[in-house]
Amino acid sequence: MHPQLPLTFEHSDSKTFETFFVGKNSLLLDRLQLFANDADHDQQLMVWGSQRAGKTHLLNACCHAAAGVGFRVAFLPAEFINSPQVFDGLEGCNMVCVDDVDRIPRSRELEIGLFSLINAMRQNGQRLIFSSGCGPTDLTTLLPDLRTRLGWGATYSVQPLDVSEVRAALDAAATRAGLSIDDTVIDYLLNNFARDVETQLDNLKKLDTASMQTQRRITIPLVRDVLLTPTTQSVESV
Amino acid sequence: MSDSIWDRCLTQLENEYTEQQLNMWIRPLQADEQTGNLLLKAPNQFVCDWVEDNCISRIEEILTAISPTQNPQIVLEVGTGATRSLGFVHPQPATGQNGASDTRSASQSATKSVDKTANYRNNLDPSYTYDTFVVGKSNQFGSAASRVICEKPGTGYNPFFLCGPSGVGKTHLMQAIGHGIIDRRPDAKVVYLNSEEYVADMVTALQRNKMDDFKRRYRSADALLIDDIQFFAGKGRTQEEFFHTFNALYRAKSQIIMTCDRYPNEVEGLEDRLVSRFAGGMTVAVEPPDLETRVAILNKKAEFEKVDLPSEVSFYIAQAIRSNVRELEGAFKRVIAAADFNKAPITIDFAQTALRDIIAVRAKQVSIENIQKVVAEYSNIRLSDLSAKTRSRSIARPRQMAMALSKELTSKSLPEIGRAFGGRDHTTVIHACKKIAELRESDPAIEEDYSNLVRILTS
Repeated sequence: MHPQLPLTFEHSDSKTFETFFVGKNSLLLDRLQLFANDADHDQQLMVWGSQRAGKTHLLNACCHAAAGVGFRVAFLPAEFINSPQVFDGLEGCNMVCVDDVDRIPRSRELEIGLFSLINAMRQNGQRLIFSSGCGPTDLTTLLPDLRTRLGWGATYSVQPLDVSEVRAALDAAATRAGLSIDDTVIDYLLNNFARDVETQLDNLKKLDTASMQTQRRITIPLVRDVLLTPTTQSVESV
Repeated sequence: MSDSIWDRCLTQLENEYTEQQLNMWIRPLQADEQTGNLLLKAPNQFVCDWVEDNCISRIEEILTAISPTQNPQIVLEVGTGATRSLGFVHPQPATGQNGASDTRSASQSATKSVDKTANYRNNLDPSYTYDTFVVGKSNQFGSAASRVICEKPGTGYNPFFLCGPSGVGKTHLMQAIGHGIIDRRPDAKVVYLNSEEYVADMVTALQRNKMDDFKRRYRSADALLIDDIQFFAGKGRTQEEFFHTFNALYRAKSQIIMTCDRYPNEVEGLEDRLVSRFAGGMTVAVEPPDLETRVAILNKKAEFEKVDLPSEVSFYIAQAIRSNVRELEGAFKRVIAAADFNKAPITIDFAQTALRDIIAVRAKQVSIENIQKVVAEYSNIRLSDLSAKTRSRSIARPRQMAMALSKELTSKSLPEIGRAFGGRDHTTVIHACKKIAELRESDPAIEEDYSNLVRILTS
């Protein structure tokens, strides 16, 4: 039997402010919304926190909101920054978001490229948002000229959701996707996988896809089949 | 909301590409529909190539559907056009040595080119003036010398070389001199740029065979202000060109001001002839601001922002943030933002709370290893006991406590936690968490221990 093709989860669960689970990050969310919606006069912000705390989501949400008010925006993830030429021309944008600055490959050329972008953007009166796994003072391996510039604006740490908030986030995402999941399954997911919201939502996406393809309800056996199979899961074999 | 063809096209693309694809590749494009066709300008070749490979045909389809009769042609190229000015731009003075106002005139960007024209417009930051520069022990010598230059540029301290670590106010002082020169001679051509811009400008001139224009631009300045000269290191062709520019300006008694993160003779890869010329005028070190200066910077910033910042709060922030002025201002902005959000007065307690994550940034991330270490110390047992097979209560209870803390304070899964405690099963972790939860309810001593440990680990 051919598996049913799933509808993509991606667009209905896009990275916007509306789909960000706020938890204890009300101040951060408020400031980013003001910043992206052209409602304050700051030029630069930094968001830092542990991996999978939602930094990438927030930066994309900023781009989405800023594009909505007519800004020309650009999102630049660290894994894409492998040549100083990736910074070329970005100073012409109204807002540039650089994700995971702590993970930019150690290269003087790349650091000078980012340093020059910051100078040009600030000189042009445009906006910058950075994300990082640590605060600017802890970016000790970077060129000092770059490090101090990264800390030029207000910095905010992203507080990860606690387990009850992750549970609520899972419930909300499941409801939005039209899924019905028992509490026992959610308990199982929270106990057996990293309890950060991104991991849990990724798992939910995989389960949704597998559930659609195999026409099975999301139960603990399905979770085991899909998420605990040692090799890369082929949903057709589930 | 505009309903231009490109806007309508974007609306459609937003349903077909992920948020990240849109933000990386499509939203950086600049559209120009004035010619009747759609000109899409990509900021660089990477964006251009991706759009070419992944979405240009789709854009064509959408355009055809939107406008079947006009059938506009699409041209995709690397290029830049004028970016619309942002709504927030309105000149506002900065405060502090690096306190570039976050609100610069957008028109300023249009003056980055330094062509010699009858009405040359300088590209100085309007907020970097003496009015906003706080003089303290760390910069008083440089500040006093700079005033002399404003009075008689090109005659006394020439070149003027400011050196010091990043974020101490060198650029502010340099540009304040530029403003000072213009105040006295409004038609003076004062050119400010970063050394990287100089290099990039020269590369462009070489590529376009416009070196004569390049030379004329810089050699006709009445004052040339070059920031971060250390980035000239190792760039032989740039140094060669700058050597001649320097000599031309010097002979013409034009003022040359440079900043650098160290003394000229300490810049590796800088030619000796440049080192000797740079050191031939006045070299002044700018040190990081001391406590009193940092407090004064914060007070001035508060004054300009019209914020009531009690002196004890200024002292608290200035004592906590010592690294550089940029971070000092970042911390100030953070406190103001929190006060605005919470509609709360700024007190020392409030500032402490607002800056907790910045000040505690050096605090270790909570890890299972850290929890084990803290619990072992707290309980007076050996670290290895936590992973041992021992089941005596004096060991088992702290072990359960550490497991429960690992579940609460880290995002590790139960199997991962079990493995970190001597390869135990996840059901053991579940049992430990349950047991500790029960004990915290029934035994105040356990509750106190648990709270103490959470405080130690998260403070």
